[in-house]
Amino acid sequence: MSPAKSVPKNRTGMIATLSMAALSAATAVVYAVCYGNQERYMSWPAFILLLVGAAFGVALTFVRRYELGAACMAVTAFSALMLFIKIIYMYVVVVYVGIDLKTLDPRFVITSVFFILCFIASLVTVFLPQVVNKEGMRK
Amino acid sequence: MKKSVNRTLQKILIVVFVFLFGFSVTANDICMANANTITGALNQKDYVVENTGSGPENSEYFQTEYTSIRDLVYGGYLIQMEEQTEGTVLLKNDHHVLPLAKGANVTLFGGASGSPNYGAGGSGGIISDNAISWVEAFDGVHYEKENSAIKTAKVPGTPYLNVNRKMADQYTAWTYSPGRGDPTPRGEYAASGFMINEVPMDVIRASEGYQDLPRYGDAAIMIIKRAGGEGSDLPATSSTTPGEYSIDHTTTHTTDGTNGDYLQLSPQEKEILAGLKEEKDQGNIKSIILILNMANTIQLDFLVNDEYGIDACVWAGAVGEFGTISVARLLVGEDNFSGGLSATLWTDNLLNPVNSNITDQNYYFQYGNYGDFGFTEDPANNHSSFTTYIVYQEGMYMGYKYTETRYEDYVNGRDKAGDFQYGKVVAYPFGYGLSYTDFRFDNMNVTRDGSDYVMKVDVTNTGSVAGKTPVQVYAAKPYGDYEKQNRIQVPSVQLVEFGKTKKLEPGEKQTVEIRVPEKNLRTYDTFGAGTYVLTPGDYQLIVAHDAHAAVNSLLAFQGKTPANTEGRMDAEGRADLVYGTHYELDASTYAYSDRTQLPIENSFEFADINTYAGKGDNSVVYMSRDDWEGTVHLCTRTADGKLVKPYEKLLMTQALADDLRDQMNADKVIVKGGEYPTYGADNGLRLIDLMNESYDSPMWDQLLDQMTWQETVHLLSNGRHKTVAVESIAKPAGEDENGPNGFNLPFTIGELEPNPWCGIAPNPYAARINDPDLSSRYEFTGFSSNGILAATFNRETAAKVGKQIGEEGFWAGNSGILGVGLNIQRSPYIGRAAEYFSEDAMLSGLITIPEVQGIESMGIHTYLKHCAMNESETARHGVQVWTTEQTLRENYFRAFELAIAEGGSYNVMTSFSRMGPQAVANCVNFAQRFLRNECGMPGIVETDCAGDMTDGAHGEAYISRIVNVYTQATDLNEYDYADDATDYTGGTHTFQDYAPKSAGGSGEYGNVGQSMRESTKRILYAVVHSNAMSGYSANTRIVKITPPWQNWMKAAMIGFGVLSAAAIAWFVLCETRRNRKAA
Repeated sequence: MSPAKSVPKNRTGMIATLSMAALSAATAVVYAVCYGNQERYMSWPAFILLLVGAAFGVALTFVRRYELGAACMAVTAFSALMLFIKIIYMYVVVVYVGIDLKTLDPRFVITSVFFILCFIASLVTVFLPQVVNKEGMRK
Repeated sequence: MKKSVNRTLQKILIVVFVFLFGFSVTANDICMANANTITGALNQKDYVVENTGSGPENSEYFQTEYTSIRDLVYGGYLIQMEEQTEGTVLLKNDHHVLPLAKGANVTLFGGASGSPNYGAGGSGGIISDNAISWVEAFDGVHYEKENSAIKTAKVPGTPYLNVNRKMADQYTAWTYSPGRGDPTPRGEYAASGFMINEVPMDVIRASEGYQDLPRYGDAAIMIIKRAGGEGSDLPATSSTTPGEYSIDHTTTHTTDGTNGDYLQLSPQEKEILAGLKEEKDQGNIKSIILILNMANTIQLDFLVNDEYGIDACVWAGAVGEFGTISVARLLVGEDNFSGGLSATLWTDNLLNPVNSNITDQNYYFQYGNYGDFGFTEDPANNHSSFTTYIVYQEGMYMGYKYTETRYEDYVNGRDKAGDFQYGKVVAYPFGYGLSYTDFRFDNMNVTRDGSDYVMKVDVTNTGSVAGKTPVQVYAAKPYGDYEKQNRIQVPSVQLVEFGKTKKLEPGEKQTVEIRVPEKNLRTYDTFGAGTYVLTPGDYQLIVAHDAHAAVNSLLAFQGKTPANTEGRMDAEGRADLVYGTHYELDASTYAYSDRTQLPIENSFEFADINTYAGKGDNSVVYMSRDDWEGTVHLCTRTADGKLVKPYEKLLMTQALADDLRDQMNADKVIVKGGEYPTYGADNGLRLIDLMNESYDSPMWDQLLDQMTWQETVHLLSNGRHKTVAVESIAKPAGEDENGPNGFNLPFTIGELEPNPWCGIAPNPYAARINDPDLSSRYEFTGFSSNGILAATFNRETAAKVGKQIGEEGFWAGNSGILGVGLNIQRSPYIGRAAEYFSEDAMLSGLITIPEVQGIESMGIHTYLKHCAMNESETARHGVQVWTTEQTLRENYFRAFELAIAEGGSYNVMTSFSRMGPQAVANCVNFAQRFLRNECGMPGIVETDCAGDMTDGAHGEAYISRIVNVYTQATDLNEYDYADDATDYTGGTHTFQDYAPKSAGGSGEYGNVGQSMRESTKRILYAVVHSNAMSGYSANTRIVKITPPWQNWMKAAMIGFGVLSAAAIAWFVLCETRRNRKAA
């Protein structure tokens, strides 16, 4: 049975999961664009986790493991966020505690927004009802 | 339904616990990387002190003169007032309107009357919680010994002046600026940033207080202020049109000074002064008195031109906490003025050539082609730490050294001197100051005593009231063929020494003796001897009231008079106050350090773009006496007031770009090889055992052998306002605090609220004696701006200020002070004028010697800052300063040299700047050749906030903390790094990459280990001779412990981990059951 034929009628959760995968990939790309050339603020493990999460999310959706896909992306998004925090906090410290820099770089703001959105969206996806089969069981 | 709820609940629990677990793991990771800072902030310790002895031992190494916190604070109150009394300068006193009669009826004007300028902003600021305002001071409010100086104990007194109360209250409301924790709204006309925001005259006229002007018309006292501080220089223009003044910038900060120039009167200030002149003309007020409450002084064209009928003018600098009282007493003649200007006051700042090549709040200078070499601007900073520069094109001719030299050349008709109208350039010369009495200098006599000239001069008070006066000694050195052949520039006169009389009664005479070391006549000869020389020719030593009087006396010595110079000479000189002597070329006497006997030789050719190997097509013509017209480039303004700066334009070269990058590149700088020192030996020594050992004692090696590699890394990686404790050698923690005008942390001397950088001071004397005011809000003394201390020309006062700072540090448990500020007030627009002493390095250094001695006498080591070349704030990170080696040494290094070599300063804090291509924090020649080999500095070379240079502040780091230590350019990075923090400058490295095999490293970098060992030794040598040891004896042990917060973190991590696992297990179990049932 092809994946297209298996798509059920209630597709909210599945679409959310696929959107989440797209957001996860977008976050990785934005992060790399903003900080890819600045080693001290670039966590490549976070970048890879986001991409891996997105890939797993899509793959698991297509094999109809919807909840597992959402959970997988939630774990990777959260882990990536933590890695991002771990590497970027020094920048924030310098801004607020250092004696010269007083304003936040737009790159930091944009990247942070993406990471936080990605994490929140992943949580929402986990709690969204996934596809419902004929027997009323959610998957 | 129930199943669904359970399932959702299980998911929520998993999410919550996993989130908390993950967050706690991350937080723990971050917190452990910053453990030292957090321990301090939480007021906890990572070590405990154990006394293992059987009986008490003497553990006090410094003796205080005070008996209690109150006694101490009251001492500071008295000394700060003395400083302000001695340093306030009377500039003008027409018709003897001053002193005012005690109790005279006066009305105060100007925003500063309601909101005084006590001190600078930033790390050079002072605590002013207990300050006495202008109005309080005039009212006679003061402190008394019993309750000392705390705002709740202010005592009313007999008013010095009867102040128009309504107007004063109105000004306070208009200009109110809330302090720390004060929720009161700002006043409508509170100054903010560089906005003067003076109250408009029509608003003043409409106020109730103004109607009382005739009743309070003995004098109108106009007090104006200007602010300065860390982080930016002052604006000279508000223009943002590229090309009209400078180059790239995108940030606009405005000021309401005329022409967008913060150092001109604002239109509103002019309105007020014009209005007061009208009132004076109408007889409503008798006199107008102007108080300049500022360290950065405005241009005084309006005063010189007598535009507003101002009768008297006083320069009070930033007055510190209690200086207002001093000024009040001076105004009514309870004390007499005796200060002399520590910087030239300009009639017109456009005529100060330095201003063509100085940054400003709104602009800085960048290589036009930096993009060609891969450098980019950091969008958050609008500049990069690699692309900005300043050329000190004036060379030796800055401040009075320009004005007086060009004046002498103009009078003497030197070719290309130009039509130099001194009176249009200089409002008041360096050293100038009036008194309520007059002094006459006579009978100068000069003898030799060894290498010193002993100058004696009779000073007679010829006036009718008692007073003191500075006695300044200037040297005039030859400027002849030798100098021209060797490209030496020689100012007409240079301050070489000074003294001050005691308080002389009318008619009283004092013979003042001043010893001038011959060394002060030396000249740095870069292109000839390549060392210090006494150049051949005639020398003169001149006793004078100020720099201009000195030149006129020099001219008189040369036979010049106003008459025979066709009026070019503006006053008669005193040839009898000039002593002449002669030298043949001497290139050996001062070619060696008198501290270390090591040779002094050219070390900074790279800082002069003309001699820098990578100069490319760049060249600079520095200011020269031989061509004033051709080498002086003055700023101009366009018709609509915008500034045009003829600054020096440079282009980046490939060699320069490479030098900028390579110097911080660990892979290029650090070479393999060498033997590691011993780590972790058990020699049974403690740091205190070496208190009386010399630096060269072999016991140091034995002690250092006890330290582990990890302890060494930890010590060198955590230097933010402190040195950390080391268990293996029983080294206590040491706390080093700001700042340049005395300690300025916002905590009390007694209880010592947690220091944000390193917790409470480790072992304060106040706590050791259990002072009853430990928890009271007594605070450190906020001293006057340092220009006032310089203006005292009084070593005794400077010594008292230093001793008081040392005492306060001792009582509070500090072991170092991040000061004093010894950079040079190169321009009135310099942001940190309040922290620095003078435009003259000799005055800065000479007045600092007793101050530093006083501080050091209490075991508080001075970190002289910002060593060196921090004469601008805007774009200060990495700015490349280009100038000649002679200029560096004679105009900028000299102040540091005197404070170290003569004052005994142990440590320095480097600047953020570069000298040419080399970051000062990574300049080996500066640290090793100059600071150590020439000045004999024994202690620590510490960076300024290293995080700003190595992490985050800019797109690219520009120093490497590992390379710095390796090259021995710096010993301690002033920041808190994790022991395994990564260095991102040219490859990514941690200290561990250079570790010995015994510490799990490759064992290939013994040289790195040796450098780290040497830096560690310097740190320990400084600490063992500091107040950090007070309270510790030979019986004392330092035992490392885990601070409680770290246990809390671990407990949280484990707890959330367990809960997460439980929640997941519950979910999986239930899910399995549900699936079985479904199946």
